Amino acid sequence: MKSEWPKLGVGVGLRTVHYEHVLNHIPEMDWFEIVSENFMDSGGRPRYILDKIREHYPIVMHGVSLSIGSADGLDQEYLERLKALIDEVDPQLVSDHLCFSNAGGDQLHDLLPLPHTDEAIRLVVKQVKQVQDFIERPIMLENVSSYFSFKHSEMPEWEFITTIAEEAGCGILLDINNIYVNAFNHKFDPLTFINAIPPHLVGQFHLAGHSDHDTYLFDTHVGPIIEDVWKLYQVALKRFGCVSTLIEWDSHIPPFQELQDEANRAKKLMNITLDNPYDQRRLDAHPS
Amino acid sequence: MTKEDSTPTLRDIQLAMRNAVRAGEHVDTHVNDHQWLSQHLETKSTDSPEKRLEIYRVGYFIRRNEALSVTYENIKKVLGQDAFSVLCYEYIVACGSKTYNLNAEGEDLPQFLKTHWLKEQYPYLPDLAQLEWLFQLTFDAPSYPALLPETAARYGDFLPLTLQPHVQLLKTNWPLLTLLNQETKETPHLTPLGRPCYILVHRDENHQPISREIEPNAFYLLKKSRSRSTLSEVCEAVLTDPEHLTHWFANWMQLGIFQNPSH
Ligand SMILES: [Fe+2]
Repeated sequence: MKSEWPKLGVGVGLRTVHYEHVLNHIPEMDWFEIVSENFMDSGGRPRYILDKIREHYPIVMHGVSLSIGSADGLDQEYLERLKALIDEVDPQLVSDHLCFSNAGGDQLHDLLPLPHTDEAIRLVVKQVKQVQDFIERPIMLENVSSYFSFKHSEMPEWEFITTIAEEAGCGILLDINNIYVNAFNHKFDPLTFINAIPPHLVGQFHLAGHSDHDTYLFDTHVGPIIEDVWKLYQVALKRFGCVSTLIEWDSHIPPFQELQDEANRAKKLMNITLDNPYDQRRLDAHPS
Repeated sequence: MTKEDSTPTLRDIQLAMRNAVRAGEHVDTHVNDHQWLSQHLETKSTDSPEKRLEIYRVGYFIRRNEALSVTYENIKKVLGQDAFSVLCYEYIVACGSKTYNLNAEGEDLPQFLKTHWLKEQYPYLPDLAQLEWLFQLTFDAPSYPALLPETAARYGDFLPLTLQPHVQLLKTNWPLLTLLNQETKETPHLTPLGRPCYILVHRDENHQPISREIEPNAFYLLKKSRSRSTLSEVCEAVLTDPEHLTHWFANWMQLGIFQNPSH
């Protein structure tokens, strides 16, 4: 069974440095992904810009602070703000990360890995259901990069994320670069990861650059996507179909044209990898 | 069975990771925690778990430092990169982050500066930080439909006055507005004004924060408007001649700093 999630084509992350270019030129782009927190807590210029951009492009919301795996439970005020933005923006997709980002009342501003245990699965499944009930729509969880593993993990990462998605009824945002990074850092074959994920769970791909620190790969979202990650992307396209794909570039952000070039490369790969070429396909979403 | 040889709970792991991430360069306060956590971690590499934990610790300090540099760009300009980094480091170690949103990082910095050693050399730092924090609040606060002159006229003396959430007020004894407009790269040596300066912070038509000095009575009048008093109550509390009042209100309505009461 292939993915039933909306097929949006290829998008890029909406970043402050590109606001002016996007609004002045309305460049060709299938959709934009916003970082939810940058807009849900702001009633000023960011919201004004978002309203303008929504007139021209479909929007996908991607959060970084849901902290779905936090043993402290979910932050109800956060959920209320998230829901208010969702209700206003009506995004095509909503996602966050399979991780935790706060503990003991402190925000850690990072995507910290969870041990792959039954205890973590039960907690995350319960909390995903809470979120989905509250926002009244399904979410997707993204696999994160990590730099160590837990000795008491009971299963590999692909089994952990699949079990959670199946039991909680949520989707998977498959970050192809994070699979590549973790495959190097934790010494597994990235194809094993990709081939273990049931296609119907995958609603979105992320593609990004990373940095090589010799003994580990670091998920920096800097620079162009490397060739090996493009190859993995093609493997993923074959397995999962025409899944909405996002180009992430978050540090040393280049001129918009460079992001567009990366997006065009992804579109080209969709074209040559899949039977239904990108150009002839009808996208599922149009600006509201 | 000791804690060391049992399977750790998710909560224990997360609290230990929190301590590892939050620890400054001198980890002695959490050293036992570090040892306990490290023995539950592994790397498929010659790198130790401690080295890999360091990636998260450094990332935590860098992210909060970057966020503080954006909000407190004038504090950074005054102190220079090195002293500002020291201040950020000390602040981050002393004050955990209570906000999930990095854009709202640094709420406690004005308070932190009140007892900080840098205040000796730069006594105006807490006030400058407070002003920059108000800019941050102004940037992100919501705004509601503005009060229009015709609505105001309809209500007359019974007009309920409510400021827009993005309007902020600050009283200071330092020439902060001069400092903000200063082009020079040299560290300014400010002397107190010898009188209070009343500052109004609001948003301009491009949604950017803007600040201006206002008269003392205008300041108290706006302050009183926070409590949704009526126009007559506000004017009674702040005795000013009618000509001034008319002029101020016309100006404020043009700037859109009051909310429409029927909203
Ligand atoms: Fe990602």
